[in-house]
Amino acid sequence: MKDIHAKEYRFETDYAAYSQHVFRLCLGYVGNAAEAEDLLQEIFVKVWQNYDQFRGDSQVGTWIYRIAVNTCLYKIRSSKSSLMQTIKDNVEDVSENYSEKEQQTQLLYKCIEQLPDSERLIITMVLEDISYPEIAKITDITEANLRVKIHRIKQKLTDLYNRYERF
Amino acid sequence: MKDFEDIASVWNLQHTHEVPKASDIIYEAKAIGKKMIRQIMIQIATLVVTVAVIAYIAIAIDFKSVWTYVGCGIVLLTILAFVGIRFYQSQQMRRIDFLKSPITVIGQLETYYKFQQFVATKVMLGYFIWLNVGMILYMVEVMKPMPNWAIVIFLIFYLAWMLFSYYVIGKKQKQKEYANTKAMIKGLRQIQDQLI
Repeated sequence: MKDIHAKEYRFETDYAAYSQHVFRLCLGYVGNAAEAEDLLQEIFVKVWQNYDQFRGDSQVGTWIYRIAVNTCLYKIRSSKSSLMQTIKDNVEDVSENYSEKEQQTQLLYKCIEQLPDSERLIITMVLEDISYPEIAKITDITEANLRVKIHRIKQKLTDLYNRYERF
Repeated sequence: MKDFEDIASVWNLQHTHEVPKASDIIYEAKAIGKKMIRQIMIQIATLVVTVAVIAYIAIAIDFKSVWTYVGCGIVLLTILAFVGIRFYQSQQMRRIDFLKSPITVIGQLETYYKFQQFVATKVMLGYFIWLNVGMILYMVEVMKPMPNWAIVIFLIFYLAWMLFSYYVIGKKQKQKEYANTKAMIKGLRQIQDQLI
C-alpha cells in the first residue's frame, strides 16, 4: 500500500515536470492537439507500467523521452494517413482560424509535419532545448552523427518555414 | 527571411497546453492492467467452452465411423492451433520493449508485421482448409440418415458459403490487411534508414 502511494507520488512529480515537454514533442510529431493528447496518455501509461524497470542509469527525463520517441514511432502503424495531408491545405486552414502569433506556431507545426518521422522527433527535441548528448542517448545515434543530422534538419525546416510563410 | 533561431523563438511562443490530470492517467493505467487480465480470461473461457462442446459431442454421441472422431479431432486441433498463434501474436505485440533504443523497437515492430503477414496469408489459408476438412469428415456420418436431396442441398449451401466467405469476404479483407502490413514494413524500414 505504501509502495503504491510512493509510486503515485513519484509519477505525479515526473508528470508535472515533463508532461508539457512531452505534449509539445507529440504535437510536433502529429500536428494536432487531440492526437497529441492521446499520445501523451499512452506515453505516461507506459511510464507508469515500466517504473519498476527504471534503474537510474540515466536521468528520468531521458528515460521518459525515450518512451515518448518509441511510442510516437510505434504510432505510425495507425495514424500514418492522417499525417500525410498537404501543407497547402493546412496553411489555408491556419490563416483562417488563428491570431498572428498562433498562425506562426501552427505554420511551424505544419512545416515540422513535412519532415520524415525521425527528423520530426529530433527537431522537436532540439526545439524543446534538450541537450545534444541527451538526444543522442534517447535516439541511440552517435553524437557526431546526430550533429550532422540536426544541422541538416534545421536547414530543411528553415527553408520550409520561409517558403510557406510567403503563402 | 527567418533563420532557425527565429523559428525556435516561434516554438517558444506556445502557451501552456492543457493536459490530462496525473490522477486520470494513473486511473487509466490501472484500468488497462485490469482490462488486459479480463481479456485473457475471456479468451481462455471461450477456448475452454469450445473444447468442452466439441469433446462433449465426440463423447456423448456414439459415432460408428472412426472418421467422424478424426473430423472432431481435426476441428479441435485447428481451433487450438489458431488460438495459440493469435495468443503468440498478442504476446509479441506486448513484448515490444519501449525502453530499448528506437532502432530496436522498430526492428521488433517489423518482426511483428512480418509474422502478421504470414498469419494473414499462410495461416489463414491453413485454418480454412483444415477446419473444412474436419467439418466434412464429421458431416459424412451425421448426414447419413438424411435423404439424398437434403444432403445435396446442405452441401451446396455449405460449399457456397465457404467459398463466398473465403474468396469474396476473406480475400478483400486479406488484400487490405496485406497492403496495410506492407505499408507498415516499408514505413518502418524508412525510419530505420533515417536513424542510422
